[in-house]
Amino acid sequence: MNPLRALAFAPPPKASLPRLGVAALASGLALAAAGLDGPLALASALGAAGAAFAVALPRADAGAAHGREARDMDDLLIHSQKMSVLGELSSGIAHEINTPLGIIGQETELLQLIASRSEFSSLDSSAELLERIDQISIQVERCGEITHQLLDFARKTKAVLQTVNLGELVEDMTRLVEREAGYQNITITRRYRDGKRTISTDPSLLRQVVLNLLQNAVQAVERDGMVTVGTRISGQQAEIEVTDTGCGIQPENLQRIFDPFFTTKPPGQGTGLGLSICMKIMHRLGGHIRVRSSPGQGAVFTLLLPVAGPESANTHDNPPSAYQGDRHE
Amino acid sequence: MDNKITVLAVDDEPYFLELFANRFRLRGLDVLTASSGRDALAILAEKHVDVVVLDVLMPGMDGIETLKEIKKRHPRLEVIMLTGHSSADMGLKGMRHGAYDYVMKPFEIEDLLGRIRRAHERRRLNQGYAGDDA
Repeated sequence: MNPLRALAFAPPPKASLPRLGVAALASGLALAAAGLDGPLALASALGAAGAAFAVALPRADAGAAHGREARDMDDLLIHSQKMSVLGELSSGIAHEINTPLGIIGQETELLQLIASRSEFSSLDSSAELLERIDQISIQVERCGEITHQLLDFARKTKAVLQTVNLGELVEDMTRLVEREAGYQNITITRRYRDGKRTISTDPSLLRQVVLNLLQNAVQAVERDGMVTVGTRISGQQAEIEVTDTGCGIQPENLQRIFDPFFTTKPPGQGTGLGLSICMKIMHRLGGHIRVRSSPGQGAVFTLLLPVAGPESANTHDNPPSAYQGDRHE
Repeated sequence: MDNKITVLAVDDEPYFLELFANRFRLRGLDVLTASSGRDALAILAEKHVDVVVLDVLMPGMDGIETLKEIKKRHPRLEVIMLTGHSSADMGLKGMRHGAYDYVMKPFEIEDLLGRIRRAHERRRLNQGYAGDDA
């Protein structure tokens, strides 16, 4: 590990320096170091940046009841500043990386063409050569997905409202995961209530969130278990609930699962942006995500949405309250 | 304003394209067809299209790659992905790259028609906005 990186990954001092300043410094170092190491270090460097900012933030539940409201407001303000800095950082880096990445991709395509010519295809090692070039293009593709997610995270998603049949939308996404879930002996149970009712929302954004939750649920169960999908409308609120019988979420992680770049998956298997993008989308739709879980007992994710659309909820860019698992945008 | 919806169907299977075009023309849509992703991009550069119906699995430039290119060049064009088999991974990838909907083959014609109409409605609703990702 190069010294810049070691410094960046070291935990920031608790209270001796202004914490956000330390976080910014640490993040900058991690990113500078990632630049030296090449694009593959990008995701982990951004992870470190995200973690550093997260550590720098005082938690909403840390204070006593006295003066709590003021502190919550401060937290919200710092939080939204943090998100906007992270957003800008992410998109700036993604744009910068995309150009060289595009060139590597094109050069790889050319290499593939050249290597298939007769003077090379007759060589003993020609198969191996092609295989290695293929691997480069697979990895370039992977980097492309990461930068795309970074841009996705930074983008101000516009909601286009349409009348959407709640049950139909959820069922479409459920069918997408059902077959693969079946291979792993995971049963999908439907509990649709008010499935025929319509709500005003952005269907393509909501589909992305529902599918993301379903896929997480199936991955959490791994094998031999159950995922339950439910819908319900009570008053002016629509709910979509995804329950799994997986390993559950550790209490200390429960507060962080919506933080950008937070992941419990092994390196290279997730950018840690999925749920934070989901939360962002839900806020844009005037709703939010509630999560309940005890370790070993699975998890319940509930999407809460205003039936009449985001305008009716009056929560465009700010989270409705600073409670657990709902601290985004 | 002409209310007829123009759909571009993209699939490497010529028989599928022909059937698709016939069935949806009978239901009052204008249908253009393309047999590959590159073909589709060439048509989109020249002609007005409201909604693209795009097969996910195609040789050469696949559906996701084609989707990315379409969204890069025409951010507000709505794309419905068609797939032979369900894959959550592929579905999520499609959604993240801005696909409007994701439909499994074989589809029911009235169902897909409804989805095409809703995609078209979204495009009209979206026209007032300035794109931030063009």
